[in-house]
Amino acid sequence: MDGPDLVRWELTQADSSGACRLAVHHAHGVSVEYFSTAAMALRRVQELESLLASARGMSLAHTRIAS
Amino acid sequence: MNETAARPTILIVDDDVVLARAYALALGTQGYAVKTTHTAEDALNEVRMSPPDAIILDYRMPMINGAGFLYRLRSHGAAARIPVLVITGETSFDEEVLQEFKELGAQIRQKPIGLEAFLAAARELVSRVAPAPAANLARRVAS
Repeated sequence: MDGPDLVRWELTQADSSGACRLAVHHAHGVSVEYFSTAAMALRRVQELESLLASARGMSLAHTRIAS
Repeated sequence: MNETAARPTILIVDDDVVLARAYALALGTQGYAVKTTHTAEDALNEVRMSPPDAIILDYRMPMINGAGFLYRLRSHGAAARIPVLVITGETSFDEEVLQEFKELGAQIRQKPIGLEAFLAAARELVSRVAPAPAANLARRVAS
């Protein structure tokens, strides 16, 4: 992750079957994943948000250790 | 070029997340709009939804490898002519495979590839987009 301020999610319907496109916009471009259902895409969003939260926590911890 | 209309868009297809990110970083500094996918299947969906100007493709990927992706891409109507650069860690391809790539209109570069060589290959790739816009794209990137 490139920092909390630089990451943005975009979830769109890919086709009429219910498939979804998840685009994660970050500092160096866009990462794209496709899912057959919206529920699966939302689970992925939750997973990524957890990773991002962990990364933020680590970043804060590093800042505290360094200060 | 749906998401960033003014810049050539390059789609990176590589299951190695770190490497894909490094490619994206390098291309981003040169003014390209970069999208990444980590499976051939996602890349094919993305080509259908929002075709890029060029594709940089890893050869060794799970499920559908680079050759499988290329075959599917080349049967993909309007997207069939998107220029593709295959970057591979394979050290030796037999003549048959090289001929196959040639017929599928893909260039091949071997890893490891240095930054300058990578960016030069990307420039060359984008210049192949189509006769008329190619010069414009090259100018946009150069400016």
